[in-house]
Amino acid sequence: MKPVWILARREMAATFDSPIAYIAGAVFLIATGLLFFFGLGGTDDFFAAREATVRPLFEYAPWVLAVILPAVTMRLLAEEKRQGTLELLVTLPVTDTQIVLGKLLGAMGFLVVALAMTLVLPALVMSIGHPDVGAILGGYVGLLLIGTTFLALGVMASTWTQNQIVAFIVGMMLCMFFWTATDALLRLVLDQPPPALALLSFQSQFADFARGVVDLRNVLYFLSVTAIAVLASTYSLRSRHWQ
Amino acid sequence: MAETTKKSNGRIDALVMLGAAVGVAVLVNALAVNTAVRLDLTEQQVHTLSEASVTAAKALDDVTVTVYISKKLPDVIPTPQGKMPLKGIDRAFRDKLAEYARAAGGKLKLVFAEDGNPGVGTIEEQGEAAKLDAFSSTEAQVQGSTLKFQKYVLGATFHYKTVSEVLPKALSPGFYEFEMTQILLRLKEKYEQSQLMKEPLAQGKAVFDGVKTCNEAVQKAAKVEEKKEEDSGLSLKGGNDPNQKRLNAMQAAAADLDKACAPVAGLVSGDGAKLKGKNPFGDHLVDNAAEFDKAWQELKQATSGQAPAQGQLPPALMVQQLALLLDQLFHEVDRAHQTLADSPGRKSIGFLCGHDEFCPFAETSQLVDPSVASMLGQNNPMMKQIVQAATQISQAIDETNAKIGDNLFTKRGYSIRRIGPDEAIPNDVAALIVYAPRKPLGEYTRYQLDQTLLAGKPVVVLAQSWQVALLNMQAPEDLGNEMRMDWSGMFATASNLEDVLKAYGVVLSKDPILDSKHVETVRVTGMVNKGGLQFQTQQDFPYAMIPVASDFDRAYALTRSITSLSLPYTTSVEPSKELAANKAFEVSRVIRSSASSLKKSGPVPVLPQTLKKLVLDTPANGPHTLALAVQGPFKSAFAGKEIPRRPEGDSKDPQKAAQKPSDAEYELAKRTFKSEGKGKLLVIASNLGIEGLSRSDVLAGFDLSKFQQFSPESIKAFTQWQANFQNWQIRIGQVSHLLNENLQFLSNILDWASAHEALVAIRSKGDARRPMDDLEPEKQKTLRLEALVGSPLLLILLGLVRWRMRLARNRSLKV
Repeated sequence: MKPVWILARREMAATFDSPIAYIAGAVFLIATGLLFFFGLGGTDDFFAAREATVRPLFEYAPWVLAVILPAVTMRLLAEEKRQGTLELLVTLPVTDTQIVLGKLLGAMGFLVVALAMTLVLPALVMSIGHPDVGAILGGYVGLLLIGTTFLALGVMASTWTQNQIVAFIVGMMLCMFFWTATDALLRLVLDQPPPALALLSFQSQFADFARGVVDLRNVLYFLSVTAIAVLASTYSLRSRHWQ
Repeated sequence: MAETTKKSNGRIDALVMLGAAVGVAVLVNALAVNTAVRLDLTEQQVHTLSEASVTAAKALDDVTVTVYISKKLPDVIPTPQGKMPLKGIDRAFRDKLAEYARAAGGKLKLVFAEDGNPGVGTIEEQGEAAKLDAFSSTEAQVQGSTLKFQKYVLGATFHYKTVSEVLPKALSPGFYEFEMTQILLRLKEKYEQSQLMKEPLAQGKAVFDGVKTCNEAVQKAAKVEEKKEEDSGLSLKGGNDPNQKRLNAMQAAAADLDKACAPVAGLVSGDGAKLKGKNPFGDHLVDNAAEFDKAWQELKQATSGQAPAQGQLPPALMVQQLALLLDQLFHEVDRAHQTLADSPGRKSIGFLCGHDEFCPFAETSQLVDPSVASMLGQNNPMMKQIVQAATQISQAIDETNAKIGDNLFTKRGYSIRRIGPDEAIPNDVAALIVYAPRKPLGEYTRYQLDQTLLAGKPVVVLAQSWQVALLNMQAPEDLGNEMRMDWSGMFATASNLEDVLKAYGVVLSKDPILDSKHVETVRVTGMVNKGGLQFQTQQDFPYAMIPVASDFDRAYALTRSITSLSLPYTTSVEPSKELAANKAFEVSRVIRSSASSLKKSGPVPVLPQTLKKLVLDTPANGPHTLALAVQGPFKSAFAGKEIPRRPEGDSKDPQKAAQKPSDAEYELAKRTFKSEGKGKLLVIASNLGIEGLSRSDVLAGFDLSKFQQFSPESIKAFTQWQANFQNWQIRIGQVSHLLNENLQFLSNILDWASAHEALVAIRSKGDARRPMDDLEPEKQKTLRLEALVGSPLLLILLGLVRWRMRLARNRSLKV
């Protein structure tokens, strides 16, 4: 695991050395904040609802993460491929899986920092009421899991191309697909999707976290998708040997 | 070649590995679907079964739950409050049921209704047959040439031995636990009590079955001709008139109908007569069955072919109408039978009425005897119209109260009883609610309350010392002018609860409790003039006279799990020094206001801005007790005094007139008088925003003798009655947005009073609203700006610092 940590630390340092982390971070915080206070249509008013809750954060943050996280992951492998530094990387005593995991963990550093910065919202709510702290904790666990899955999908998209923009668009489409479209698509294909298939939707899986419940089924689901994305990224990297 | 094969093998290996990984992931997730490993992080363990629910699930052997879930539920459904999201609700329902099944350790079995089983219909049809409430979505579907709304069901029926209960519509996941535990507790009670009521239940069932058989035969005969017409399109005997065809068909089936319906009369006079007088629900069933039989006899006569008497409808039309009437009467019988079957073990809660309090019943007597009203018009038609309009207002009041009682209590499974001011409290009343009387309680009522308390039955008193009206309507001074609606104020009620409660060591204050910080809003209705037209507007203002309490006695079941409660126009309540010092009593300050609250002698200015200024200028002296519970050996307030006699009562009510107070009754009361006894008293110094609507308040000063001749005063009085009714609506409207939450609390009070304390805490879990403090708009802006700009700015600053450090490091490396 040591090479993974070394790679992760290097990746995290690289992320925070580039302005993109700060721009993406600031956009994430502003967008989340605006949605938190004014809702999707800009017509809601958090204070008018007069309820000490952080639910709007968990309602809207996944939308923003689905757009922002692919922007962070787009350069991870696409840029290495474009600059040819990937060849240098693979000469080091690390496996392809370790490279992918290192990149993913490095990007998770950004996710953790971004989520930590949103703690200002629960702090604000706690200063003016008594929100359910347990439910907030559950929501953050959910955001961390869904964010990690988005990152894994973003890394996977980044292994498929040398172009960062293409990686970003494909990554974002994948995240958005899982977040919003699975449910709708299932209903389009099957008139009555079986309950097991309906569970493919990220929104269904995330709902429990937002209520303050950490359910093993939901955790397993996000970890499964992440693991498959990591595996697909690994084989995508390995595919250079077959071309 | 070898290179190509190697590449190809690599691709195949990757695909196989990836496929295998997906397969393993699917398998692991599929296996996990039925596991229940989860962590409920919420403070009140909102999503985990409480101990009381687990005990209730384990207490019954062999419960079968038939679950009805529509295959494809809509994402949202329309409700009067707006759209209700249903996404994932079926899963939440299944999970909760599965949790109960696990908790019961095999004693509770789940059976899921399936579509397409021969003879049982769709899940929706099965659900409706099992008395579930079907609901529809916003999307209509084209079926043939008509647009129809698809029906859905989500609910369950619980069966235990010979009894069953229905969860008709499971659309509130927050209350699943409450609803299911309530059903399990009820099943146990119902079964135990039904064993003691076997005979009346069997008699009731016999009557119901007889009526059902008759109605089915009648409806089948009445329908068959229409069907034939649709199928063949031929003109049958009787031409094209469907009513004539129906009459012909019923005449043809007369023998069968008679065979099916003849037993009804016998059942009503046989089993029905035995049932009568044993149980009020049984009486209701027999009365309805007798009405049904009467209608059947008329139908029989109409189909016999006899010429109609003068003034009667033609037989064909009459048969059609009577067939419809029979079906309606059957549904009444069905409902009455259902109520009888549900009655075992149901505890009655008495609501005191007759003092302008919240009394969820229709009045027992009519405002004006119809025969007297018809005579009025002989002298003056205008006066007759006014009396008719007053009667309509009175009917509207009755309907509103009855509907409130039905929707809030009866439909939720509570059995409530009206206790009039001149009535003795029946023995089967398990608890008494005195809900915010605005008139003084008479001596006899006080005596009844006293003896109920000393008998160990819970007594709940809600007090309303003030009526607060931000907008009032009043009749004009001069006839012909428009109604005035330009003034506001607060008025002390004439309640004597202060005096009543003093006898039990409870000191109820009349001073309003105000708060500067922890408050809810009041909804102010106003009129604006736009382009010469008057428009009604509504606006919410934070209101110092609606304090939000969040300081509760957690040891008390009633307030164990609630997080906040708004108490409109509350005063305070404290134990007397003697009561507080008496160790034999358990005294609990159940609800307290915040430290920022203050007690101020009333009346105070009621307009939100003026009141706010007053509150900000007055130092806080909170917290104050807003609800007090006392349990212990109370002494009678009538010890050593003459026991009051029961008053004569309302002579207009024939039932009351027949039950005149007698000396024997008084003698019995003296012999059974309790001078002390252990009791439970709960006093809440607010009406929770639910203000009573009463005839005597709205139609204040109504006197039929004044309507013999025309007088301007009568017309003015009539305008004032209309204004009074509207004023009640306005006052309810002021706090309408708080009522939902407060009604939940009221339900908790009823559960507490009917000794279902476990349910109280469970219900509150689903109702965990957490209000925020009242903030000035400026403060809101500042907080919003800090949150929106603060963290991004901090992140960018960190980036700049890191960039500067890197620059400095690079420079030092160059050097």
